[in-house]
Amino acid sequence: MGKHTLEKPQQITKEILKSKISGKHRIYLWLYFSAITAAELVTTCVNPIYGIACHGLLLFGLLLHAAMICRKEFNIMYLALALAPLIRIMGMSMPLVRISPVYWYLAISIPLFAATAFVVQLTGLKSRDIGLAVGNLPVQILVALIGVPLGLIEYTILKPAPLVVEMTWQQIWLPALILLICTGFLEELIFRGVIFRAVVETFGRSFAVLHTSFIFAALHIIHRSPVDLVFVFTVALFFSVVVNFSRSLLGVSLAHGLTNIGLYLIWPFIL
Amino acid sequence: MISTVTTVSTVSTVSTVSTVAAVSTVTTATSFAVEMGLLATIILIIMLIVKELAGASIAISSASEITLQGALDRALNVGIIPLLIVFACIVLEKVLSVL
Repeated sequence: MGKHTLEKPQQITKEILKSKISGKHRIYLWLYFSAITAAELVTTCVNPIYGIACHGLLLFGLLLHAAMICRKEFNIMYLALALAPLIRIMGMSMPLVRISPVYWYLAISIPLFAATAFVVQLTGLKSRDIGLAVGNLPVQILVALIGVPLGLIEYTILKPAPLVVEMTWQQIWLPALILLICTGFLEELIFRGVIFRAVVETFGRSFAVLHTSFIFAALHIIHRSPVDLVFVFTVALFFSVVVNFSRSLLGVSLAHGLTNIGLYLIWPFIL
Repeated sequence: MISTVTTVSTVSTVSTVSTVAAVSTVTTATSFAVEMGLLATIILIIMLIVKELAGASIAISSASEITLQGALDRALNVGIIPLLIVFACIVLEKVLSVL
């Protein structure tokens, strides 16, 4: 009985301490989001070289922070978040001058896949944790089909030039495959797979959905379109909610890929 | 989208829901690509130096418990691995331009 009464205050103290630590890391996460946003703004509006230097500092800071933390859930979170500045560093520093634009995404995705695989291996996340599961197939197909209208909406916002000269099967199949895997699957794996899972384990679903979507949108500042930023943030929110409920990246990866396929390979020839 | 670029700003046209695609475009002077490659290489070198220092201090302490140096040694690989791939591509690109 005496032992029991002693344990209660200890437990309460532990709970308070836990919530204090959790609150501190919550603030850190928003600070990192602000830093990523600032680095993107520097990249876009000031000088890309300074921007990449900022992203480099941010990457180093996140990795150092991850190393300094003993608790696994926080450690995973910062390691996963390090993938965000890496995306920009890879995109800007990869030598692409001699490569056809169609293969740019492929070239950039290789180091990013390697980094993501390493983070997954280092943090001990299982393939099911990061959404590498089929899930409910009819639902996933329905989610995937949303990529078609999303591509159309995005095309009306950005109106980019097509990636290929003409819309023939021979011209389209390889770029489509590259867009599907190297943008659709890769980005979903990074944001809705690794980062989302890392944050959700510590701070819960609603915070993870919001934070991951903000990070995803921040990395689109470089496109210099406020409307696109809102669009991307909304899409990210939707994708995060879908992954949260379905625990599968299949549908959102296909939807993401189809959005980009429509945007660069289909809609420019139709509209 | 390709022809206008002199800085990264026009990269915007390259991609959309794709963050990966914020790629520097071709017409940008090669000097821009060189500067970016140089910056990536500097980041890589700094990370390798820190990793080496962390690794050395682990060897000195020879403690079996998890230390900051040990954790840093492993965490830095997250940045080092992709940057090494970029560095290899830069070297390959240079070799091809010479040949």
